[in-house]
Amino acid sequence: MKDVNAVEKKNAASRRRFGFSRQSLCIPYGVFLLFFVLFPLLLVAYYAFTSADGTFTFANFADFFADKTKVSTLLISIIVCILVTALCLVIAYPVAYILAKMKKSVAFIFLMLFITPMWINFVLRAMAMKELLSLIGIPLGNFANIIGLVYDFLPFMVLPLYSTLIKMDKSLAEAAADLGAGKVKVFTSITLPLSMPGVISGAMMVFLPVMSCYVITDTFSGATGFSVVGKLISWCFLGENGTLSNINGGATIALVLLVIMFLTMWLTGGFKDEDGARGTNL
Amino acid sequence: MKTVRQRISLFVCAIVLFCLAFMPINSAVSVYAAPITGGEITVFSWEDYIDEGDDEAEDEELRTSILDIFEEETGIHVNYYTFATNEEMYNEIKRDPDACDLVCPSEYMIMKMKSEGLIKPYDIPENWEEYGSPYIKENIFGELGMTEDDKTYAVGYMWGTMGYLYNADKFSAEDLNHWSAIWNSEFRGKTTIKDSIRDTYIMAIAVVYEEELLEQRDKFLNEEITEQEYHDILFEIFNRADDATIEKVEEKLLALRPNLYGFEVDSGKSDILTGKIDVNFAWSGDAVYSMDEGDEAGVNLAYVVPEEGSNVWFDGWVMPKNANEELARQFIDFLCRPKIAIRNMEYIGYVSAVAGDEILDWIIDTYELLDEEGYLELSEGEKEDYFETDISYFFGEDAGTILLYTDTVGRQYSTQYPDYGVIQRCAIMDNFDDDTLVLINAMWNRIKLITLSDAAIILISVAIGVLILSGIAYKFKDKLFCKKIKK
Repeated sequence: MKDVNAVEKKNAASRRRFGFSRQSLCIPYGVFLLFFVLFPLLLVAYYAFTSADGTFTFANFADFFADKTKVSTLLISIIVCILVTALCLVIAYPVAYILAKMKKSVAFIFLMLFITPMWINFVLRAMAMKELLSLIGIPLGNFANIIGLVYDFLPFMVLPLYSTLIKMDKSLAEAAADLGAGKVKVFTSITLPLSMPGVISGAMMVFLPVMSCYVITDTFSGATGFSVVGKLISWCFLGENGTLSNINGGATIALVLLVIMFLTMWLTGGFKDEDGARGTNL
Repeated sequence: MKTVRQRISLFVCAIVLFCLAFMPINSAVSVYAAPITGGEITVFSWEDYIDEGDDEAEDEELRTSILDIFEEETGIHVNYYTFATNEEMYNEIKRDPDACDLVCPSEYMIMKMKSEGLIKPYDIPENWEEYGSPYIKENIFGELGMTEDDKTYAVGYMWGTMGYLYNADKFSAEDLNHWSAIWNSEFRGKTTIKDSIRDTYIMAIAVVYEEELLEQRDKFLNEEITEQEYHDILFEIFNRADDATIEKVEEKLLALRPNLYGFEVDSGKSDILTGKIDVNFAWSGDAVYSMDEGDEAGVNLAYVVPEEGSNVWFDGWVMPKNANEELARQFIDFLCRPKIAIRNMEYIGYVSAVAGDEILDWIIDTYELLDEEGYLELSEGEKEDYFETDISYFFGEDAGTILLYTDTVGRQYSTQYPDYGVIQRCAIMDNFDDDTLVLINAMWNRIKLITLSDAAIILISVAIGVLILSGIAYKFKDKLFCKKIKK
């Protein structure tokens, strides 16, 4: 014990000599967090609760929730998020499952096929996909919108699922099989419950960004498709379509969106990162 | 306990890192906020809205930017910044009135800035006095009250009309000479309109008041009303924005929505070339661009301004309150030189508000048009294919006669310089006041977005509420239901 203490004291002494502790390395990130995360968030909250001339008001929220079109867009966005997340899950789970069962070298190739498109900017990918859809003959609109969103967010679902499944202890499944569980039983009582952290973190990776991903819906919606809430915010801030910008209104919608996101995160336990699956996402 | 030394080093470290984090931003800011001293002006304009030199041009002169030529001549350096929408520019000027010396907004924004006192009148530049088109100077500026005595609030830069650009292999001008044409099912999924309420509003107004507009036009053609009366009526109709009108416009546009391929401000130019759409509600400058491209790709496009009438617009140079008037005016004067105007026109593809013989000659040259002398040399048979087109409104009374080959109607030339008959049925659109703007914007939201029925809103809200509550219940299930077991 004494030795250990001595070593530690020595280390502490040398650290002191340089006047530099490990915590000091956090300073850049702390500064970044302060100025580019915390400060903007406070600004958003400030603008959401003030009118254009700077007085405190709840009118922005009243305006938003009294506008049927805006509320409809919010509700449609939530439904779309749920739908897209579900579709991604249905498509991605078998893929991740098969990949996890494959030989590592082969799986690597397939995994790269999923990852490489993500190196291309998603706006470009969306535009290419739009051309592809028109080639196949799928008209722009709600259906094309869903295809576009699923296409864009699928890798975000596959990767966390894959990393959870590959880390899973195979002996558990084997033991269950030895004890007489059928393949379906093994999947439902061993594999699926154990992969839940991956499912949740994948779902978060898809559900939350879809809300604000208006570039995709702009590309695919044509004249009749839906838009997501992000579009409303961009309208408010940029003052598009011949109107002046309404920063307060935009901040209000952004705040509503933030609340929804925090609620989802909190309910799914997204703040805890016990399994580390999230860390493996690109 | 931290030693003093440790604290100092921590502090220094933090400061260094802090400075590092802000360095790039800092330098960018300092470039932007360069003090305007001596020979320097800051110009705020649209992207690609000035000839900054074509690197591939054979002619040495065409390779140099117009801004450089200006600097060489006058010693005045131009800081050129761009904006993407009038509103973006307006917010910037509003935020910092000293930001620049010269801006190039559209007509309605000029009116708005003028009414809010953000811009100041300045002495009319000589070249604008001499070469500026009488149509822009007298008709449009006169109507908007741009000039006071020998001062003007704006100098015209580019101008144009709005109309339908269509695939001439599939349709003829007759198919599209009413704005309401694209409501027909034969264009289903094959048209685009502007993703900009101001422009689309004009088109919808023309459809809502189609009968009235056509009636007035007939009256004018039968000489029951004078040209001025007709124009005043047009101006009034195209600027209607009362509640009933907005409601009717909404109805019309909602009915149009399923018929559209999409809303655009940029992609329509190329979508019509690739055949995705057949009709595009277009600005004349974009129409000319598409026609040029179409000629190379073998797609025959044409442009028509429908019978009901249309919108004429312009972008002009204005000076914010604190601008350096002397230097800025020199720059405007330079841009109004016919030679420079031609370069900008060639580069941008829109039509300069500057007229003058040099530009007229350039047009005749570029489009191989016939003037009177050339016409007289033709044989009788050939003469039948030509007809006169009146552009004296733009180039002044002594512009002479230009003769146009029948087949080129609706093509580049007549899109850029419409016949006076077309111009007579075009009116400018004034600025909406703020209250109207709120109404129109809400209307536009309802057109662009989906509005659910009350029942659907309640149903979905309840469903989401239940989902959230069950989520909360699940999260706290231990605390809610298992208290006894824990004890």
